[in-house]
Amino acid sequence: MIRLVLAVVAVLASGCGVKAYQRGHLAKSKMQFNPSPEQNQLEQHVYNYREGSVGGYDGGGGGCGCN
Amino acid sequence: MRLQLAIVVALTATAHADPEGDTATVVARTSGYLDNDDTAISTSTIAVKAKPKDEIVVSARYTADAVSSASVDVITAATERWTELRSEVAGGVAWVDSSMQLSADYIYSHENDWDSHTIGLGGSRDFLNHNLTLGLGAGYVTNAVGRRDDMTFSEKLNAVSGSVRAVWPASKDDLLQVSYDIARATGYQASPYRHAFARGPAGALIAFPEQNPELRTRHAVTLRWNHHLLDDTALRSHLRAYVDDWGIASVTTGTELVYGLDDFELSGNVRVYAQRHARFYQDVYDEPRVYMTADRELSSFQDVFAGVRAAWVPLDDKLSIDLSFTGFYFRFPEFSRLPSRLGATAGLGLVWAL
Repeated sequence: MIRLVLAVVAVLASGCGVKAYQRGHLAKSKMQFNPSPEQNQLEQHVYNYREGSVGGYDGGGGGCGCN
Repeated sequence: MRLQLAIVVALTATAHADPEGDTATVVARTSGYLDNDDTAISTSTIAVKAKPKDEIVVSARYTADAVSSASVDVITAATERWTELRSEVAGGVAWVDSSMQLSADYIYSHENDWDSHTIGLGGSRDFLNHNLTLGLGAGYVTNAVGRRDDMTFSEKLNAVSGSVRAVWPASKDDLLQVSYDIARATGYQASPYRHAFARGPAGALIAFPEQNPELRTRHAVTLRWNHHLLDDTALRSHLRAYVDDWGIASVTTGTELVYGLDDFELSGNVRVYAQRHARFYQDVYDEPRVYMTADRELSSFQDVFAGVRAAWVPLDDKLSIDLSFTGFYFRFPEFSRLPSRLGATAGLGLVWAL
């Protein structure tokens, strides 16, 4: 697992990542992980009261140079 | 279960794509829930975000749940239909620049038999020319658990949680996120109203107050993948694996297709969940045990949610009005009092960017 993470970091660091001018699609609102926090909160509310699991769906975002 | 909600809220980040104003954004949402377990819930929330300075975002939110239920939990507790109002207020502040974000949030939740205080801290930073974002989150929640019409019942439940995540663009059309969440709860984790059943010497069912372990550690690993399909269309998918030290293991997966057409946005989604039971769960216990539960959410079960959403975003994306409808089905093969649950939710949202 550590080797996989290091490999990903090495690829990104080598300049093989997505260039700024290639990020037009990634910058669209539809590509965000949590495009509507309040709606996501209401949906997670339904799941969290009715299932035995919780966690893993926080907002995230960024990483595409779209800020 | 309220603890689960608090943990999720504490770790929720502030990134979003609803319309966002230069100085302030107002969000109002309401939703309704109805199922064949004789439970109806109305939830409304109003939230305000403001930017007093370029890099500072302050936020406030109020949420109210009105619940009316005569579910099998209520029937087996030999009580009548109950109604309840839960109120929650939240406030937060975030510092955001082009490559870093720091946030702090506080949440207070109150209902007639439960009080909760939650503190959440979060941060993220971009690395490698914005090709990698690493984020951290931490939360602490303390709960006072009571029982309606019983002033002698008073329990505590506390939890700490943490999360790490990495986000990176895998291509010009693909965005990936992997995250790990951990939460450790200590204290009273049963329901003060539910009773578990065990068979007595003559085969008769005897009710015992529910009793769960006082420690619970949860782990969740989630992979999310957003893929740009066509001009204004995206496919958002996720896969989560979860385990805890009560023996529950679960898998969640889902996908959502989002299609944009001028001022409108349409989407359809499906989500599937499957869970293995807690090791101390039994529908009816063959004899009294130290830990006994009547919580169907601790049994083995599967569920599926499928929904549609339509949004209208006029005025140069300064206003958004959306409608959503979701149907769901649960199958409880290990819970004889409710073999299945069928229901639906509907929502209406308004976002106004000032």
